[in-house]
Amino acid sequence: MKTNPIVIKISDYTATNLAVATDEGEKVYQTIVKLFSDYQTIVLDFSGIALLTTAYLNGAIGQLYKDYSSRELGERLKLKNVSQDDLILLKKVTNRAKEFYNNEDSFGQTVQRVISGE
Amino acid sequence: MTIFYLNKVLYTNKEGYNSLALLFNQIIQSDDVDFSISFSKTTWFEANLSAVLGAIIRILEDDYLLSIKLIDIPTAIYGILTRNGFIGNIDYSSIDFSKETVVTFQQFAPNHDTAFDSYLKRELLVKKDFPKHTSLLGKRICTSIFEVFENARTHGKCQWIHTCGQYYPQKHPSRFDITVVDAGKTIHKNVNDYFQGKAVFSASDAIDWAIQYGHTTKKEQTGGLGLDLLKEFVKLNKGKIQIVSATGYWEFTEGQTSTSEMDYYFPGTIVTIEFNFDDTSFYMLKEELDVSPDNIF
Repeated sequence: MKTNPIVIKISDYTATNLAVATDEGEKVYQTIVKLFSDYQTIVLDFSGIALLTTAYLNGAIGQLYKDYSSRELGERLKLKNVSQDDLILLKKVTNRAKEFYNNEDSFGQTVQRVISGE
Repeated sequence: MTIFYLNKVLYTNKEGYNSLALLFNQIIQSDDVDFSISFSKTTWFEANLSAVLGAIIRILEDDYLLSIKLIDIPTAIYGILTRNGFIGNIDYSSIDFSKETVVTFQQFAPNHDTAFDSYLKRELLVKKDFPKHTSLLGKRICTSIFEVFENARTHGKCQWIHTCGQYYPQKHPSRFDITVVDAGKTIHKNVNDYFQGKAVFSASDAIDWAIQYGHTTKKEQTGGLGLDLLKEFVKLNKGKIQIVSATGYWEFTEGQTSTSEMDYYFPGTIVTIEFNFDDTSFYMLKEELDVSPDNIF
């Protein structure tokens, strides 16, 4: 039996209509992880949010790539009521997260790049 | 009691920051515990530098247990510093911020992010010229300020974040300057700690490293997008970014980056952003052309 996706309203997790703080994003991340562990699909509803930062999105979504692949996230996480300019921020965050978590030893490689002057 | 004198003019530039950093260093090297900072030689003090002076006074009082007084403030500067709340008690309910050019001096604890939200809403978003031409410009300006505040909150690990802004509607183009200061761990320290001695950066090179796309000193977490985006936006907006941290100075203006070392150490990080409110550009980043909710992940 297919279940309906669970809607997470971002504004329920922010003190104001601004989604700007990393730690507020972290709360959404924790909720997503919990629901994913229960095999749910999720709709992230951004209605009522006036401003978003990459700091918030890194906390809420970027770190999902630690444990989930791009394909899994595409299938299980849907977006609703996101403005076109905020979609760009989201895309930047997910692109960077894919680069970052695909690289298993990013710290070591960053150090190596700096030492070798790249 | 020892008296130190502020410079004749303090602009929001490297010289202005240097002279305030010198003041800090002179005071901490003195054996006295009671100090006065005199404005008697000062004819010009840019209002947003209140955030820097406020941070310095707070560090001296809280960390060094010194007593600091401001004296001999000329009438014109006194007027500015009372209007922006740096001295005296301001009655916020009596101010119509839509007509006022100041964004007041404030000190936020790092967990006061919602207070910072309210501050920007109350004092910046209501300005009658904000945004002058497009709502997207206004949104990008606010997002940029929040990215900087969030950086100060999460990286500086400081007790207080000091902010102050000033709008210049008569200038062409009209501009808005905002300064955010955290008196916490400097970028120089954060970056060199991150590299654990395997690479050693000068203070200005550390800032330059930290501003690059994807660079973050957070371990096992993504980041490093906010300042890169800010730089991209400020370039299009024909604005300016200045960053001071420890002895590092970093500036981005007219699409060009310059870095240098300051003469004196500043015990924290100062970020000043200058926005061009007259901007008529229509912002369309190349990613905007092919991005949709279905191809985000």
